[in-house]
Amino acid sequence: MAANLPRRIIKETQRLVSEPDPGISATPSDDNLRYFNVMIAGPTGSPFEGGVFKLELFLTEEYPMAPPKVRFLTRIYHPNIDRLGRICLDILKEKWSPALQIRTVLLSIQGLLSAPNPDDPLANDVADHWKKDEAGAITTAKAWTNKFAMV
Amino acid sequence: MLLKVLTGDEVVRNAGSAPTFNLLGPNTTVQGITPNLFSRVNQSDPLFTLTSGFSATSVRSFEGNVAMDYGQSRDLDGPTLDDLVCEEKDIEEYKCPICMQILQSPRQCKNGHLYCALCIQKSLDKRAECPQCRVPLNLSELAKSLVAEKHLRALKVHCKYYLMREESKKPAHNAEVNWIVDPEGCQETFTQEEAERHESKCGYAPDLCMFGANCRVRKMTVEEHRDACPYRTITCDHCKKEIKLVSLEDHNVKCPEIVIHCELCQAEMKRGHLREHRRQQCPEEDIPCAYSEQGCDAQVKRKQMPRHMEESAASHLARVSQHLSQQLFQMSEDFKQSLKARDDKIRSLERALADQNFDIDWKMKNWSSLKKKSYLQSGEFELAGLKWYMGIYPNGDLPDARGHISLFLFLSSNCRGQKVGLRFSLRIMNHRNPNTKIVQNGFRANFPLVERPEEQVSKGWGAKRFTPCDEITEANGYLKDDLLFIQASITVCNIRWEVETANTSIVGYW
Repeated sequence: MAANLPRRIIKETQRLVSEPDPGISATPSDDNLRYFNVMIAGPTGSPFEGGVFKLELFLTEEYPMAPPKVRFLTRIYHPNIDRLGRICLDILKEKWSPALQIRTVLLSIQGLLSAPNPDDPLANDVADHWKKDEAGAITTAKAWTNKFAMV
Repeated sequence: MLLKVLTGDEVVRNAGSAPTFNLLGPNTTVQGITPNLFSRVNQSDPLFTLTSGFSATSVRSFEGNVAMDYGQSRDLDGPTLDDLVCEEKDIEEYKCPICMQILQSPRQCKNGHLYCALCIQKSLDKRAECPQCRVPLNLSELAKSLVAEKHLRALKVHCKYYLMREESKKPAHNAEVNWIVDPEGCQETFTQEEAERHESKCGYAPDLCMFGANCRVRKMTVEEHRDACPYRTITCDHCKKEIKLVSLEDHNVKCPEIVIHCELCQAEMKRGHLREHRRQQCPEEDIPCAYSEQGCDAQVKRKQMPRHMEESAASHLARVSQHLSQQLFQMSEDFKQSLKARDDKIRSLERALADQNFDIDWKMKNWSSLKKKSYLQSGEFELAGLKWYMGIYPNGDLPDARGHISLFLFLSSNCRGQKVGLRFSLRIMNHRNPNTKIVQNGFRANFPLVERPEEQVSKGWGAKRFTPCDEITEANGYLKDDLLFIQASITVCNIRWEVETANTSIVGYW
């Protein structure tokens, strides 16, 4: 079905490839130019440092009037990301704006890795762990990073 | 078009915006509440159109554009403004953050964030806020931006015939049209405001090849193309037929009017005559001997044929003789076979007919009145390929049979042939008791079928005194409701036929 790809998506894709942001890569799939394979490097100073996290990102027909669908494929110990990789981030839901882009979404997710927010959790058990024993939670997060996100 | 609904807000907005940025269509004259304030309204301003209740079709066509892509081009098929703009500097500020292309009919929020009119309308449908600063916003709060419009009008752009479509190698379903610089395209640049006027007259605009071919023709080269197109029609100098120039080479090796040489005898002739020449005249052509059917295998050049005929006359004669006798033998064999087949067929038909018994019923109503006649005859019936009938004399056929019924079986007089042997009986049936019928049995007769005028041979067989007339009464059971029931029971024993020579032609068999 895929009618002509909107020029906005073409432009965004070109820019993602030609001017990549540090620690972020997004490449469209060959057979579906609305599906992107994403990799985010764990930010320096976070428990995810050293890890490379794979995500998938899909632009629906409504994009940019509706947010892209993003999900972690690599397992991660994070209070705002559940075991299915779903992400609790306002701009991916009610705070979406068509002025946002793939790149701004990925930067926000990178930011979320640097600053976990246990007060707005998606994975309740991880959030509880984070609130009660932040040091222990960080240790677990590091262990998961070593176990699942090392290339 | 008549403008029906206008809010005061819109009047002010439109009044202030003239002259408007004309990108898509011609200006539309509006007869409104205050014509002096805004005598010209730009039809290409989609929000204006959508909110002012223009015809439904125009609204739908805009929605169609929106569904396809947020950014619009001057025309749906052509390159977009982004493809054509000359100076990239300063242009980033005039790009819509939603479609990421140069603003079309710019609109701004209270804080001055700019969007294409259609893009922001689509966004406000989802969420009533500015996508950039999230200040609460609705359709009526959107404002035009004179600065942006002025900047866009003054934008330096290329003519759209500066670019050409890049042939995409990707599969058609995700083929995006890519526009690349046409090395032979229009080099003119002008402000965006002047674009439409130029492009409507631009000589680089594509045009159709007048010969229906897929040639790349431009408006300014149409006339030259008439005499340059490889698909133009020309007349063949030889056969005078109209052909396409590109097919001339093909035609030249087929044209029947072109003079060529026979490759055997080198004689000159039109190509169309070559076949006939080779078949009838060419002295160098190998032809078979006229006696090939009689077995002469010689294949010599036409010019040498007379010599061959002379040299081989004796052998040809021998061949013809042999051939003829073979044919005669074959014919007589064929004839014998076909005769035998016919004989067999006749015999099988005879066998099929022999010993077959036929019963023919003749029921006579109103016997009491019929019997006053001297002779009564049944209808004809067919048997063994011949026609027959029965005849009854209620009071005898001749004086010596008076007081008796005479009953005969007759052969219809117009039958021809040799002889038919019959065994038959004639009966008068008893209605009450079938076993007491009156029977005259044991007729055996050879009906001669050849007319012999000198012999007065009767063609009827039966009994002169079949039964006394007074036997036939209701009381005896031979009449019922005045109905007399006669039955002939016939067995064909033997048929002999004579056939004449059929009138067939065997002329030309030799």
